[in-house]
Amino acid sequence: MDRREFFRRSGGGMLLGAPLASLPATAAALVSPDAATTPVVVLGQADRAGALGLAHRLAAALGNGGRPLPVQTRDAAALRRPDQVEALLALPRGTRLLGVMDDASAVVFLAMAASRGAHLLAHGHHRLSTQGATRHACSATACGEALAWHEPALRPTAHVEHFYRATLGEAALGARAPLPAAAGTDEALASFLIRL
Amino acid sequence: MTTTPRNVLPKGISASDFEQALAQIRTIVGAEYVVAEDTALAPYNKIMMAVPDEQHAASAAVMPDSVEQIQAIMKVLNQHRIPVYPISTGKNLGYGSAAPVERGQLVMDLRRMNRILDVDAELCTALVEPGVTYQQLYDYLQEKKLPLWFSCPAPSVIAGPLGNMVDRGVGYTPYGEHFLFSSGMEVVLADGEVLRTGMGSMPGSNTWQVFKWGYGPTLDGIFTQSNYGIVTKMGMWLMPAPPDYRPFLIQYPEDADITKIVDALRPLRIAMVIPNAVVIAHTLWEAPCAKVNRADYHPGPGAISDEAVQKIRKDHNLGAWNVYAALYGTPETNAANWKIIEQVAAATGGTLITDSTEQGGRATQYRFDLMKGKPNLGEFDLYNWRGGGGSMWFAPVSQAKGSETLKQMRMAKDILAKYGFDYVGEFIVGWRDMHHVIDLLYDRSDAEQMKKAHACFDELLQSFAREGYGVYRASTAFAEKVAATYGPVKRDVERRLKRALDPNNIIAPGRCGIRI
Repeated sequence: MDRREFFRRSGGGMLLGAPLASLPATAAALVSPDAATTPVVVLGQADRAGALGLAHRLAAALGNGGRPLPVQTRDAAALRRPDQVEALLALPRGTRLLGVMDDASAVVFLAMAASRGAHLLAHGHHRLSTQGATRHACSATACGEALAWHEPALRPTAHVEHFYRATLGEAALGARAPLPAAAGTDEALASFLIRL
Repeated sequence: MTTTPRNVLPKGISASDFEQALAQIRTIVGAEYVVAEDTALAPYNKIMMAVPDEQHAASAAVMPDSVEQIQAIMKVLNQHRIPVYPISTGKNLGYGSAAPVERGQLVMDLRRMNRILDVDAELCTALVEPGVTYQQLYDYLQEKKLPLWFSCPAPSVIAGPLGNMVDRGVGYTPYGEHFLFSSGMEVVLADGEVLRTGMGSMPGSNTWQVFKWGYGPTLDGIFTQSNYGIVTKMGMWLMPAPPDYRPFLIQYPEDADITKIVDALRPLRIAMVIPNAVVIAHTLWEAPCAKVNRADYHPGPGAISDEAVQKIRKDHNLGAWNVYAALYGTPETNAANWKIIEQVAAATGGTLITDSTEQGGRATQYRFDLMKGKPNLGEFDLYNWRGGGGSMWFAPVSQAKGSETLKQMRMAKDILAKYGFDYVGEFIVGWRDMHHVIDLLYDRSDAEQMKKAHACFDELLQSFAREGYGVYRASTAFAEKVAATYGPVKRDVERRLKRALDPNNIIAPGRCGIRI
């Protein structure tokens, strides 16, 4: 199933002028042949409830055999300290790192990762809302323009989970119990997937 | 790894010619230092400019490690007529980042050339390569226990002194006018020849980093904000750490206070009682850095109201204007000058909040660090203000007179509000000049806001130019338009210089509006 199809089947999300036709036929175009064996590290910003919630949801979606991936957490102060960011980036070559944090921390993190030669596989912006739908805009590097959509408060991140799974070249999600909604917050967040 | 080659080519170059050139360059620098696939090139995409990514997409990137490699690459590029966009660390985010000025240019990323070549502790000078970051230089001085400071801009941890100087950036210590405090450059010209400016041209001279001028025309300036050469080394002056450093913050309650602030502080700046640039930050520049959440005060669309701004001031103990400066000297000289600062604050209705970081808030701490040249990332919180992380800096220059301030502020505020954006600004009294730095913050994940941000910046630029206010720096997306505001004769001279120094038009054509 290509991503165009799984976005359609996922239902509930309203795509906003997304250039779906421009997406490659399979997500495998983005992924190394040994993707299944290279680790994925998930990092969430500890002092942002929305970031932490989304990081845990993505870790659950990307986990193996029903076990979520561990989520590393750092607060904004740590994410502004070059020594701490460098330590987070000091992972084996090929490791994929999925980060969820505020916009400022993401800019810093990606800038420092770029200086180490990291590849940017995908990135997204998320505007969480307690009043209405959550808005997402995600872009896989090889696909060009961003996909933008709204999701209802009940399952505010379902398509984001699909998006990152697809970008990692993994199968679409099977049926599973939705995680409970995160504590209500109005937040703007950034997410990204890099390969070190 | 399955790679996706980027389908972007330099203007007028065929795919086969480009691939042939890349093959030649790979033999010079090694295959791993030439990248042409999408995911590896993504870090060179534009970040903050409110234009489509495609407009500034690089065709490839090359990372040389030496002057000799650059010379060899220039030979190949001349042969194929391939335009190249040199970057040092590529982190001037609000002014264009690492993305080339025109689509298809080959990025020459100099980050591997990151050697601190010399630090002379007696003469207080340094000689650095393009890839050296401020943090790296800071760590070096700390490790060697050298009591030397440098001036750095706000994103100093990730940015570097050479690139900042070449872009004529500024900082917050008494050495804050970075080009002024540089001494000597090494430049690889388009034909591969290497020029050392000033005393660096003279064989056997040891004065390259201490006497800037040399003999004859001073050439350094033409290699800043230009595309006449690739700067590969830069001398810079370091400041002896003063025996006593006394930073301060003065808060003022009303927007209209800006007039008297500038008129009261300018004489102190010109007389060098205050030796560093005086930063006068508006409430909304302080608020994000003090972790204020905009949505708590203005949840809806459009620009934030004046009433909401006043509430933020009250709730978070921020001034309408927040003045940052410092005294540098001995305890005795600073004690004498401190009385002047106290008198000026009292006479102008300001509240002298602190001379110690413990009394200030989060914003105060990063400002106090910057004024002693300690790199930090405190100002990045601005990117959280609006959500979506978009930022474009609009920075017109004026005389350092109070009469200029309110007029400029009202113009900016009206234009920003028309497009739904907040006035997030600061005035910086450099010496006799004043930079009015406005951060146009927008949601870069929202296509509609991107269009509005671009249109807003354009209107700011044209409106201020009509009043005689030129910007001192601009993102590459607006290079052509900014250059046009400075008139035709200057541009014609710049074009003639370009023809003379780079007849094949291969170094960053279009940068600062300069091309053949």
